[in-house]
Amino acid sequence: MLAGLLLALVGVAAWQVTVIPVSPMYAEVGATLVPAVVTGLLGLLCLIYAVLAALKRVPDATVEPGQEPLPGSMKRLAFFAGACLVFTGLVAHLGFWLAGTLGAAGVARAFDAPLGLRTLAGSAAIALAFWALFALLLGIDLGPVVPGLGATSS
Amino acid sequence: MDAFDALMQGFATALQPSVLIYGFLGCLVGTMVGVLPGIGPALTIALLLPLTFKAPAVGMFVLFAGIYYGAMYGGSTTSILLNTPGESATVMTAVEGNQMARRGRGGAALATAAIGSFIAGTIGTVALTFFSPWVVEAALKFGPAEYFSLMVLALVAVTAVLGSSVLRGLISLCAGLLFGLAGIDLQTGQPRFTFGQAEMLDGIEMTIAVVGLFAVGEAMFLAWQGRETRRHELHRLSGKVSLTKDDWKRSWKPWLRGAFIGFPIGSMPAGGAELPTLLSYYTEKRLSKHKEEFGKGAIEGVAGPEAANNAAAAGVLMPLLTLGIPTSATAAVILTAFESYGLRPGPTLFTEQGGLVWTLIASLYIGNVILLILNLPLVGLWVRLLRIPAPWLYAGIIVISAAGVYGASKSAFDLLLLFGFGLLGFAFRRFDFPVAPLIIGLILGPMAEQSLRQALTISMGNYSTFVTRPLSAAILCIAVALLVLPALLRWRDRRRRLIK
Repeated sequence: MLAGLLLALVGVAAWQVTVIPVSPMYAEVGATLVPAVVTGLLGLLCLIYAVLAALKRVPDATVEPGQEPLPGSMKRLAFFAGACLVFTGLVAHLGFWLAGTLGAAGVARAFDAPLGLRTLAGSAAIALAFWALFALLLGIDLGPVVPGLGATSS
Repeated sequence: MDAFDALMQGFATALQPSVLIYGFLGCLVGTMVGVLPGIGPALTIALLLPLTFKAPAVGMFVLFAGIYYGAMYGGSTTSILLNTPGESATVMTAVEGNQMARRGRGGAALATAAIGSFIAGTIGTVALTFFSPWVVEAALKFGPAEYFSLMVLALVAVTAVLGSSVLRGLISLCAGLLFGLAGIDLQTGQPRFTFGQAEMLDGIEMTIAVVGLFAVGEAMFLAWQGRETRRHELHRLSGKVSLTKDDWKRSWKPWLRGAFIGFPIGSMPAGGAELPTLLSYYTEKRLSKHKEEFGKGAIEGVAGPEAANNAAAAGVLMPLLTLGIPTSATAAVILTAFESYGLRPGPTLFTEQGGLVWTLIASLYIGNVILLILNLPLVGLWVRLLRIPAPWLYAGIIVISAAGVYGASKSAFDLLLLFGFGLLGFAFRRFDFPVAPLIIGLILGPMAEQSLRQALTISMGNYSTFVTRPLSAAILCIAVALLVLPALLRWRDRRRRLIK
């Protein structure tokens, strides 16, 4: 499965190499040569990987003994991914603090924190602390803490 | 001006209170991240890169050097008390150090690790001070062809040594090279691998890739595993944090041997800090008069590897500062920091920015002293860090990662890229692909392409320039040998076994 995915990604890279425009400027080495060589090399390596995986010479999914995921791994991963997407989608609309609170709560939940007020309050404290550290102390622009409240630093 | 005078000037700057405070902070933060499993110096420095917009270059590099050295010191605490290496370079320390802690000798293990780190770190820094000018002198004779060959060697070597499989390492490296080529081609102005997105025209920001792969990827992997909330048993610190006369007698030779193994290997293109610690451990095991104690808590097994990893940390800085070639993920991130100040590490850095380089080297000596003073008395505080509940620790890491990336551009696209790299980091961890070749490919790819193009322009398109120039040809031969020799040796061993 992994080998197939890798080969598909090589296909995408090869397509991107074919759409690099030809430069009107003269250059001893054009813009396409190195990307084409690297993509070709990657394709070859992935092909070898696929063949070895098919022959069971390389394990397609390595998990060391004693390191297997505990039950509920996909649920935890879903919480984590959801937290990342929620933060990305909402940060421009809700401001860093609220979006950060939801994101942090999602990540905490992915690490088995119970769903509840305590988790939300802890997440709000983390998001606010880092906003203050970056925006107020270091002067990095994260936007207002919530829309319309708190100065945007520059 | 010779190296000694330049170093003294470096000390004069590094000892100014405004610079010293950065060194102190760096050591503190470095020890902290070294203690916490899953957070390394590469990630920490990457998270602090946005500060390069605000802070002076000297202060930031002293801070980064403190973090780098501090992480090496801090990693030993987790290895000894938790049997979980805080850093990959402290794996061997976990083997013997944790056994010592179980037998009530945790204090002695921590003391030999800290004193050994100080001695070897200082020896490594002395070697860096006096060998760097020689390397710079030689490197000034390099042309684009030699640089290209050297980068090929660095790329191949990193791939061949890191990770459990050369094939996976090479796939990781090629993926990194492709990511590095994304954006506008500076020579012809053509967009490459941009998928028609205007945000991709500037290429992939190194910080986003590093933070995504290390911070988000690692946290995602640990969440998927679900084992972080059920951490290993933390051993109570038992015994005084000091060495007995017998401990000193058994430790001093391993410290010195570790330093002399660590520095040269660390300064090689693929040396890193893992290989010398392994080598030091097995050397001590072979030379020890107490072989029966190995595996049950031999102090030599802690003293040697701990010394080796700190000397190797100084060694890694040599190719970075003198040739501009990063040989570890942390060095790659420090290289990015140089670039964000408009500086280009390499031989000319010593001539054009001598003050900065020598202050950085002087700060390594000072950092070693700060770490020795900090590490032992504050060991109780470091242990307490290990009690931070996993949900809060990782929620904090993700929020700070997002803040670092969002603060640099306020772009949702960059956040998506961050989490995309996080997903890639998770997949790499899940399927046992090494991440370091990807990072090094990402940063060395565009530089190697530039050297290739310059060399071919000078030779008027003649590709034989790489093999007809003796130095370039020699470097390429080493690269080929590194790729082919391990496979040949494995094949020979297999054949011998079959014949038997």
